[in-house]
Amino acid sequence: MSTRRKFIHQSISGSFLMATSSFPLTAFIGDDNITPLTILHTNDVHSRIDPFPMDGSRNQGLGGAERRAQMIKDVRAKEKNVLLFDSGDIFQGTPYFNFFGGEIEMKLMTQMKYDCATMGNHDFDGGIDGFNKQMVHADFPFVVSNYDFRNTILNGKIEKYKIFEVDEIKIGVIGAGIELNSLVPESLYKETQYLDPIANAQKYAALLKNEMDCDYVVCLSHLGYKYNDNKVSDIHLAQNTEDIDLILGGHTHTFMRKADIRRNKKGNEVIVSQAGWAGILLGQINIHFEKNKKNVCLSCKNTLIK
Amino acid sequence: MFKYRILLFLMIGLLSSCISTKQHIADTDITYVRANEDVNVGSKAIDDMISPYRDQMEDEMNIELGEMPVTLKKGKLNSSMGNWFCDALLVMSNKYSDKPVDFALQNYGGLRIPSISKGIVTKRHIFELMPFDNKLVVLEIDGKTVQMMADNMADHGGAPVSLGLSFTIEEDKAIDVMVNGKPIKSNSTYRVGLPDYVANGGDDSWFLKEIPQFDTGVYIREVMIEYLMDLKAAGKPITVDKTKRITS
Repeated sequence: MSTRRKFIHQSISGSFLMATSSFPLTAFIGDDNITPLTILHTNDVHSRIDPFPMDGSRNQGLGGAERRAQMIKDVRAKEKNVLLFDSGDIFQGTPYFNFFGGEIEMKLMTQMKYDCATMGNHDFDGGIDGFNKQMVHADFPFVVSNYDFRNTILNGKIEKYKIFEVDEIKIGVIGAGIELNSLVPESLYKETQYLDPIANAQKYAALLKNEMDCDYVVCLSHLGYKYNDNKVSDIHLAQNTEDIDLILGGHTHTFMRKADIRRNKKGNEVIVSQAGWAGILLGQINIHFEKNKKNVCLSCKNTLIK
Repeated sequence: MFKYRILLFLMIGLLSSCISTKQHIADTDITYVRANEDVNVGSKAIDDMISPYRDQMEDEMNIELGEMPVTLKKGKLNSSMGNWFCDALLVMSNKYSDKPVDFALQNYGGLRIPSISKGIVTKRHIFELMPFDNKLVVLEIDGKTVQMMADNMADHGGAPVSLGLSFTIEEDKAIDVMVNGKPIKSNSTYRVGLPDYVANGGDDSWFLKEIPQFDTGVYIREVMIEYLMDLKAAGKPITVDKTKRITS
């Protein structure tokens, strides 16, 4: 792994010089005003506890909880403020799930100190009762903003949103769940009601940004990255909302060479990311926040390289 | 180590009053790090958590069921994996049903690994190929419903299907639909073996929902394991039929 920069002025002054030949960043802001945040993310781990078996198949030897835990540990040792999220489909895919119903998956995620996760369609594979049973092993919250669990055993147990405060940065997290009808047998999801993911994501994102003073809003989504038809996806979600900064997706098992950047309804940038599946990849997003009393970002203004 | 890295400079101007302090996003940098052999695992803590679970199932998962003559690859149209899987489902549908079954199918998304390598097949392969608690059911349907099934498969860009059914995809519709080499007749009766997931309306098969099911009561992965054990007991090798079922 290459050396990651520690402070904004190092990387920015580099880009800065390419763009113009003006003042160093520190002339505008000090280190005290820059706060780093690292977000790690996984999706569709699908009970891949051990690495893929060495049987000549495409993914042989990749993934595995032991390795993932080490990678997370390494980032935490290096970076100051780290949050760890999962975008659903924790369950199903190896005999670990068939034998133990998701218990070891939840225990391992707790051990790795996941901060939050959303639910994927396969997290219903043991039935809503099965998920409820395994939740006792999960010492982290689940968010889904668009499922109504009122008439189910999960009533009151799944959050609509969650707020994390890290080193003066307030991060709001919402969740977007996929339509369950035709994807999951009704006997498994029971009376879970699927609500419009875009309307509900926007509702809670706006609440977090405007009323709860969140600096950054992350949506853990299991809608899928994009489709050939009009099926609602992360791209729709990004383009048709106003207050989401980052969408961490799942469901389509998408490996990205680089994250997708879209414009939201206000014209602001939204990052759409997904980290493949089965724990083959760990997504890492490093953000620097600049604190000032102006209504613009000074370091951005002075280092715009486009 | 593969590492995809991008550097983004975002200007998300959250306009605020001049008095309050605001946090602005100065820059964002995204990488995807691969969990491969380069990761230096320094602690046994995680493995110690997994071991008791692994030990309980290891012996059973390592049971050898036979030898795959070729590498199976998953695909929507006449793939080796799809052909092999559905042909086996047809054999087993006939084993469980007291009336002859004409063809079998499997939804593409239900096959969960991209390939099975040539060589020894273990129970673990079958569990990972078909992990769902889907049962094998047999439906008695008319020709009109066969056409709808074929249309649905065509609309999905193809699906794994056994010998016994064939058709051509033209503009997302199925034409020349044949069962056992004969054009289907709308009022004739046909029998199909398939996962209850599809029979219950999964994968846009809403039109199958009301049809009575003959439920074998056995999970598809158990059916597949039984199929391989039957072959083994009879001293027969695993075979993969490459016959094209869907033309496009």
